[in-house]
Amino acid sequence: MELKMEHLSKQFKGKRAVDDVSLTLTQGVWGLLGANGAGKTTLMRMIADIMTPTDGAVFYDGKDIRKMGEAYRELFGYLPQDFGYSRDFTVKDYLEYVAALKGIPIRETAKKIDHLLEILTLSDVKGKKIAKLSGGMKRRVGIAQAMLNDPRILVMDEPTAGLDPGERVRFRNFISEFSQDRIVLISTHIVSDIEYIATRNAIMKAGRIVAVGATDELVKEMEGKVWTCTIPARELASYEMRLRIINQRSEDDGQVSVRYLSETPDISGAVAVQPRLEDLYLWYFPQANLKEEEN
Amino acid sequence: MRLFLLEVKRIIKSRRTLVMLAAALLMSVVMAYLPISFESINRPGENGEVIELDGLQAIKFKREYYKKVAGDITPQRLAEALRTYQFWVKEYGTLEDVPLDIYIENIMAVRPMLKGLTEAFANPKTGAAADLMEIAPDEAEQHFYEKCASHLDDIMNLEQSEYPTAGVFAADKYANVAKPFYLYYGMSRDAFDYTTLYILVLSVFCVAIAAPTFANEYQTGSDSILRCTKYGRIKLAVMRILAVYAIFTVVFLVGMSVHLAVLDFAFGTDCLKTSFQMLFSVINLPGMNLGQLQMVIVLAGLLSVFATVSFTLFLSAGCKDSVTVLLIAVIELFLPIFAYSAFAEASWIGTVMPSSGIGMQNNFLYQLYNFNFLHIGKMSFWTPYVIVVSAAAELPIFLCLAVRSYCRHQVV
Repeated sequence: MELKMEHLSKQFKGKRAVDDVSLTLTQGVWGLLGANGAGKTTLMRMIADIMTPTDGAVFYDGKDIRKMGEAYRELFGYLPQDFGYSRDFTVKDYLEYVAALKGIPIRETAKKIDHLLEILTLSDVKGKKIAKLSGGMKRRVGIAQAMLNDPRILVMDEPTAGLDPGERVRFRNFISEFSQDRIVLISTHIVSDIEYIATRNAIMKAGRIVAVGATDELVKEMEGKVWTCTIPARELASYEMRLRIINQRSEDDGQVSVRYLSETPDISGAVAVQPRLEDLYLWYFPQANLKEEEN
Repeated sequence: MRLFLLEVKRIIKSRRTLVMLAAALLMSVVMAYLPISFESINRPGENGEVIELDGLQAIKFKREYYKKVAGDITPQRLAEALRTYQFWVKEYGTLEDVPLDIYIENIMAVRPMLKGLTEAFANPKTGAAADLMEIAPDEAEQHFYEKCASHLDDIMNLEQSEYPTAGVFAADKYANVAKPFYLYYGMSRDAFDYTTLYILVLSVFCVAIAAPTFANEYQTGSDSILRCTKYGRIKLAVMRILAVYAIFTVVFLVGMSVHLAVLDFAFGTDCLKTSFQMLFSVINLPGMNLGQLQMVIVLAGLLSVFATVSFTLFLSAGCKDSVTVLLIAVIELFLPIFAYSAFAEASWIGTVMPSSGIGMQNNFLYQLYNFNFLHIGKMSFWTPYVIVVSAAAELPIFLCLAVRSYCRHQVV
C-alpha cells in the first residue's frame, strides 16, 4: 500500500504554496514538519482531494485519487487544521451524521462511536453540543470523526493542537496502535509528538520537501551539530548574537546552561550531545522558535 | 434515506430554523385573520340607529344575506337586478340618498351582480365604465355575455393594438370560460391579496433558511471534512437539497392549508364556487372558480418559492459566506416587485426571474386578472404562463448548478 505524490504543485495568486513535490508515503506514521507557510496544509488538502493541484497528481496504489473518487474517500480519513462543525450538533449527532456520510452501516455506527468516544475520553460529553466543549475536546471530536471508518489513509493536520500533555500521550499511543497496516500522515508544530510515533518524516520548506527519512536517519544528519555548555549569564546576550541557541537553563552562581546548533563547537568546553528531531527542525527553520515565541 | 433523514434532523435542530418555521406557521393565521378583520357592514337597528358589524360578525351577516341571491348569473337575473337598482335609485334621486334600510333590503343584494354590467357596457373607445342608470335592462338581458366578449376585444385593441396575436389568444381563452358566471358573494379580494402576501412572507423565511445550506459549511470549515467522506460530494449535495425541499414543502403546505382553512371557515366554502370573473373583472381570462383559484395560487406560489429557493441554493453553493448569499437572494426575491414598479407594467426582467410570481403587483394573482403580455417579435405571451414556465425551467437548472458548484468547490 502506498500513496504517491508525483510532481505536485499548487500555485495561488503570487505564491507557489507547493512546488513540485514528489513523495511516496508507505505504511506507518509519517510526520510532516515545516514552519508556518511551508505548504503542509496545502499539500494535505491535495492529498485529501479537496484542492485541485495546479500540476501533478496523487496516486493510491497506482490509481489517480481524483479518478478513484468515492472509492478513495471510502478508505480516507481527514482532520483539517480548523475543525468546523454545525453549531447545533451534539457530539453524538455529529458522529452519527459523519458515519452516515462515510457509508458505515447503521448497525455498526453506535458501536464504533461508543468505542471511539471511550478511547478519546469523550463518553461523558456525547450528548453535549460541540460548540460548548473545550478546545481540546473539540479536537478529540475531530480525531474521532476522522477515524470512524477505520481509514486506510489517515491525514491529520495539527491533531494535537489544544490537547493537554496527558491527552497528547494518549493520542500518540492510540495512533501508534492504529497505524498498523495503514498510512498515517500527521503534521504538527509539536515536534515531540512526531518524534515518539513517526516511523518516517518529511520536512517541507517553502513548498518543497527538503528532507525525507526515518526519524533516526534524519537525526543522524545532526550529529556533531548540537552542543551544550555552561556560560556566564552576563555573556548570554553576546553568544545569542553569534550562535543559534535553542535552549537555555539558569544554573547556580550566575551560570547558564545552553544548548545550541552549530557546525563547530565555537565555545571552548562545549560538548556534542545526542541530537533530537526538534534540533533538526530548528536547523532547517532557524526562525521557527522565535516566531512561535512571538505568536 | 438515512442520510436524508439525518439532513432533515440537522436542519430542524437548528434553533434559528425552528424559530423561522414556527414564525412562518404563525403568520399563516395572522395573514388569514387580517382580511377577516377588515370586513365590516352597516345595518339598520331596531330604533333606526345604524349598527356596525365587524370581522366575523359582518361575514356571518353577509353569508346569510347573500345566500338568497346566490346562483348563476343569467342575463335574465342581471336584467331583473338592474331594473330593481334603477327603480330605487330613481325613487330617491341618487344612490347615496337611498336610506340604509331600503338599500340593504333591495339594492345591496344585487350590487355584486351589477358590477359586471358597468364593465360589459363600458365605452368601447375609452374603456370607461358605464353608468348603471344608463344601461337598458332589455339590452343587458339580450346581450350581456356578447357585450363581455366585445368589451374584451375593445380592451385588447386599446392595450395590445400592435400585437393582434395577444387579442386572438385572449378571445380564445375567454371563449373557454364557463358561462353563465356563478356568484355567491362573500370572499373578498383582500383575502386573496393576503394569500399572495403570505406566499411572499413564506418565501422570505424559506430564502433565509436556505441561504446557509452550503455557504455556512464553507464558512465554518466543516465542508473540508464532509467532502472527504464517501458520500460527501454529489450524494450529500442532493440529499441536502432534498431535505431542504422536503421541509419547505411541508411548511408551505401546512402553512397554506392552515391559512386557507381559516379563510374558508370564516367566509364559508359556498362562496368558493363563485366564478373568477364575478370577483375580479367580467372579462378576465381564467376559466375557474374561487376555490380553484386558491389551488392555482398555492401551486403557482409553491413553484415560485421552489424556484427562488433553487436560486438561493445555487448561490449558497457558490458563495463563501451566508450573509452574501442572503443579501443577493433577498435582492432577487424583491427585484420583480421593483421591476414592476419601475416599468409600471410587466417586463421580461420582472417576469422571468425565479421569484416573479411572488410579490405585490407583480404577483401571479395580479397577472391572472390583468391583461399583461410580453412579446418577442409579433408573438405574444400571457404573463402568468411566462411566470410558470420560467420558474419550472429555472428550478431544475439552478438545482443542477448548485450540485455542480458544491462538487467543484475548492477549499482555500
